[in-house]
Amino acid sequence: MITLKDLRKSYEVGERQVDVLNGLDLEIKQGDMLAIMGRSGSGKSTLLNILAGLDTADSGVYQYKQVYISEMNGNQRAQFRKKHIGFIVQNFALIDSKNVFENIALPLRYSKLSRGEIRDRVDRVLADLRITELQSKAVDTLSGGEMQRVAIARALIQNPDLILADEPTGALDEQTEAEILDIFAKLNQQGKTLVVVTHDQVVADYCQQIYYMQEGKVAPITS
Amino acid sequence: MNMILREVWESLKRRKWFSVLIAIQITALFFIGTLLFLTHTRIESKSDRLQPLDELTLYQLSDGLVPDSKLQAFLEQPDSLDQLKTLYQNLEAQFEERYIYLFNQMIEVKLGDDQKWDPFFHGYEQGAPIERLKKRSYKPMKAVQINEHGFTRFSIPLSKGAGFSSEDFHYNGNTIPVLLGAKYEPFYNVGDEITAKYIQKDLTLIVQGFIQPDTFVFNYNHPELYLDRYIVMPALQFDKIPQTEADELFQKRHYLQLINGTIFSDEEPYVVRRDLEQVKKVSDFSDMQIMGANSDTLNFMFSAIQVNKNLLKIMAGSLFLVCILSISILMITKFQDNYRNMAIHLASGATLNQLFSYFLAEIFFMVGLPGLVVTLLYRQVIEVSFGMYTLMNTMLFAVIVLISALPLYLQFRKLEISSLLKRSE
Repeated sequence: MITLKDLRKSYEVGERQVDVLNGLDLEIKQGDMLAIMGRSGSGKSTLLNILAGLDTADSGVYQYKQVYISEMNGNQRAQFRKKHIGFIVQNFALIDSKNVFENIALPLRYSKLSRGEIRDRVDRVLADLRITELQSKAVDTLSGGEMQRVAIARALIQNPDLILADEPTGALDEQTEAEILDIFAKLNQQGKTLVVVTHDQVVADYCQQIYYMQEGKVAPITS
Repeated sequence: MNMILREVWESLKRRKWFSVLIAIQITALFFIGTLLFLTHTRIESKSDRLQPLDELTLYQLSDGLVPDSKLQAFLEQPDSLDQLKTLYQNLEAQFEERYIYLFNQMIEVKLGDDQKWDPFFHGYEQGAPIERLKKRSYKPMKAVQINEHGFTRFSIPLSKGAGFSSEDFHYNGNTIPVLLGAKYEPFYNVGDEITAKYIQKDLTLIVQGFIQPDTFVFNYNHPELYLDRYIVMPALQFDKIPQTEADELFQKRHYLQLINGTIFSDEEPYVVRRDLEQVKKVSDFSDMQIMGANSDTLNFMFSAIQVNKNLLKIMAGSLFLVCILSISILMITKFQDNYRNMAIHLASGATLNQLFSYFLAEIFFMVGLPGLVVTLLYRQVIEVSFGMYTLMNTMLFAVIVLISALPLYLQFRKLEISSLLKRSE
């Protein structure tokens, strides 16, 4: 499904050049659920951003199915993101000025759907995640677990093939973390591909594969 | 479009007081623009009206009939009226449009005892005994007499009615046409008759028109004489021979005033003096002299206008800079404040161009709405040169939008999406 070949990415930090990705190779198959671990600053988030089409590598190949994402421009990548990617950002990343319904519907607003279609899709996702009663609430009145469910609902609203999660349980208590991981497992059972960046071994253990990121490359720990 | 409106509305609500602050700032800028526009229009119109008088020197004429005994002796001469008439006609013939008679001699008008007339009284500003004057049936009102050249030269603008024609400067034996200052407009109509006394002669004045507000004239003694509360009379010429002694005396006194006019000339003083000597000679009137040559009055006015213009430019420039700077700073702060939400939009499928369009739409709205409100208010309340005003506001709008959007555009260009996502962490 996804092939990354010899990806390289570096940042200028002051006068120093830091190589974040240094010839990274990775194969992700349809239906995989993999965790990427590594120390802070090892390039996990950068890798996730490149997978999401939010960022680009300096060189190398990013192939998604038959399409070369690495050759796309910004607008094409936005289209790709809209169609194929569900992104769960750190710390829930909900927009305070929108209620739950509007936060979940946000990606659909970029898809020129009718009001009715938007309503149907949001209702379905709300029901799947058992948060229908939250739909008209302001996001700052939600608990951490509810917020993360809303963030997951937003990531799922376009029915993406690939779900990317950056530290999805970092701000949650153990019980809520377990509930969220159950949701991920169910999604994976439904055939979704998940890539989870985490520091948390418990989260990593939920995944079928764990990769460790070091010196700009990933290497499998278990399979 | 819906998405843009939705995002603009949410952004405005999200930082309500911030948005209000920007809106107030922009409204203030438009109001300042309005004030500057009005001041500029006024200065320009003043400058335009005075332009033909630029670089002229004023030569004030004065008869030499002093002391009173000399004047009395002259008035008793049987041909003194003819002499005065001839002198006046020769002055006009010699100096043509350069000879201007503009004299503010009050006129007594029959009026009721109403407080509203107080500011129209002759000497009101100088502390004339208003209460005592009010008891009279004929009230002394501010009035200006002006000759035909003066009327043409000052091109006195009217808001209603018609100006003086050449015939109006010749007394027809019945009525005298007058123009009233703008402040008279609520109390009279064109065609109204006013019973008056001028140099103790009973006269009927006919209102022929109203002068536009803030119109001013000037002479040697008055650098700026605003006509808003004045009755403007033509400096009459009497073609018929007076029938009574009183009439004759009236005409003599009247012509004595007419010959004490001002020559507006750009010629060398000796040329003006030579021409005057010639007029005196052909008119057989030797008691006439130039009291003084004064270019200061006009120079003062022109340099005042220039100073006003420069001041206006400096004020407009400084205020504009301050406002633009603060609006730009506020917009950039707002932009930085929105980093987290921008990341969420990007992750949801938005492009940077779309995000920029939200900011642009917000700037359009925040600048456009106050601009529109101020423009509509102006149309309702002031309406002066509305076309030019609208053009100015449209340009101001475009400039504010451009200058406010430019730093944002530059920020967007150098923006890395990964930095947005890092900030959201």
